[in-house]
Amino acid sequence: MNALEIRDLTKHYGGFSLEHLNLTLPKGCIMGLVGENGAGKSTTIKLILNVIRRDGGTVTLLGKDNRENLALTKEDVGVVLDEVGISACLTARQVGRIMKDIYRNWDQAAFDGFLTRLAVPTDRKFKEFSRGMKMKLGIAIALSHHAKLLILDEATSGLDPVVRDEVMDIFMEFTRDEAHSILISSHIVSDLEKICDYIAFLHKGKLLLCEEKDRLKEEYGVLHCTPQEADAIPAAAVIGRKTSAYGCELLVKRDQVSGNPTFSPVDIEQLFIFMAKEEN
Amino acid sequence: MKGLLRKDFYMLWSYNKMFLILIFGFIALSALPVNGDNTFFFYYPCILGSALPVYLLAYDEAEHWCTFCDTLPVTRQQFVAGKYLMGLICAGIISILSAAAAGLRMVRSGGFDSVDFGDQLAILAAIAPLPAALCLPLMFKYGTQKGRIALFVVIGLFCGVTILVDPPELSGLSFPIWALPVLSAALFVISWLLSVRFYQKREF
Repeated sequence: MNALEIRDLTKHYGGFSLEHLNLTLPKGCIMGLVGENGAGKSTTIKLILNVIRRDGGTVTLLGKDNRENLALTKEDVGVVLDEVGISACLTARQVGRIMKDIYRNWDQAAFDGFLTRLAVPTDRKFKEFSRGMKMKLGIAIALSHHAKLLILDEATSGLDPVVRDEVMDIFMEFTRDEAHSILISSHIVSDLEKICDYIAFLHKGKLLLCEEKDRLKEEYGVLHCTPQEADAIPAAAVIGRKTSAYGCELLVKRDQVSGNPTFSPVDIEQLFIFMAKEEN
Repeated sequence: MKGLLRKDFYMLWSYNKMFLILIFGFIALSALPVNGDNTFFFYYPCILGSALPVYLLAYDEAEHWCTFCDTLPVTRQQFVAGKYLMGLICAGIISILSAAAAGLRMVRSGGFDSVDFGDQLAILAAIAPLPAALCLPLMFKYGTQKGRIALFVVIGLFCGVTILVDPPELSGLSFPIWALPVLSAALFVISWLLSVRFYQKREF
């Protein structure tokens, strides 16, 4: 059973459409959702959680359609949204008491442990928290009810690099259990590159690709060459091209380039930028 | 449900302390015989108390709790139920205190009349659920801004009527007073069902 299966998911807003999205997140894996602002990442996450109604397609969450008894399924899903959504007057201690009454599997000891580990003050009001602190509280909530799936929308934004690294470690620990999976969207592609097994690129409501991260790195490479050498490479092999006074930088499919050129390894951010620009 | 109510009580205490003091101040004033027949201080605290979930919902929406709550194992029916129950609890407690204050005023002024007192309680019970019943469906359908406008209209009408119009002679009415709270309860239930319907279609 997959943790998440999305088939032909469609949503139309006034000036935006999410078109026939297909994604599969296997159990035990982390999938990173990459895309520019307005690409449809948050819309996808809201559709998965049925916060907004889909116009077409299906979403299967932990083996169940997300319209059937979703409240029960959400017992097993931890969510951190871009806006954490905690009332400004509440303290972390009060939030713990509230969540204890909401989640059947709430683990107060785990929550207290995460608050200590992430240095979240227990008696300060949420409105006094920095953005990073707010996100940390959201992460602590998501991890404290024995969820099987974490859905994280820009959950690492606002965190300083040291805390981000700590949070990434926590996510990696979480997926050590093979029944646990994570869907994470982020602007900070380097974070996703660090922890994700799968990468999905969303651009203007369309899925550009969804692939295993390691396979992407094997499949694509960067070639530095002169404009003349670049012109000689078959168009089908070239995903993106950047020309400067110093020469050409090509993102290519390695197996479609003849000869034995020396490829530089591609990083995920570079790959996304090339692909998005090409799509424009 | 318990978690939702707990959160609302935390918020009520944190955001509405002055409001609560005002309500209890009005109740205390209503116990004084100096107010004569003016029913303003008797009924007004209940109107304010019943309106508390309207304010709480406005905070929920502004602080993105509504969206976050949709990610928790809480159905939208439960979310709506939480607000209506808060309305009932607040209006219920304030009604009991107001009734006690009114009884005390009657006893102290030496004019306690059980029939008159019963009629006043019936009207209190009829008025208590109205602000929540009238405003919450609008808030669940159109958002807090329009819902709050409805609340101001309800409170404005109430203040105008109780201050400008002399209290009616209840004993002279030809229909049973007890029918008023029954009608009000029916309106409350219809409002609750409408809110569930509206909120289930709402998108954030």
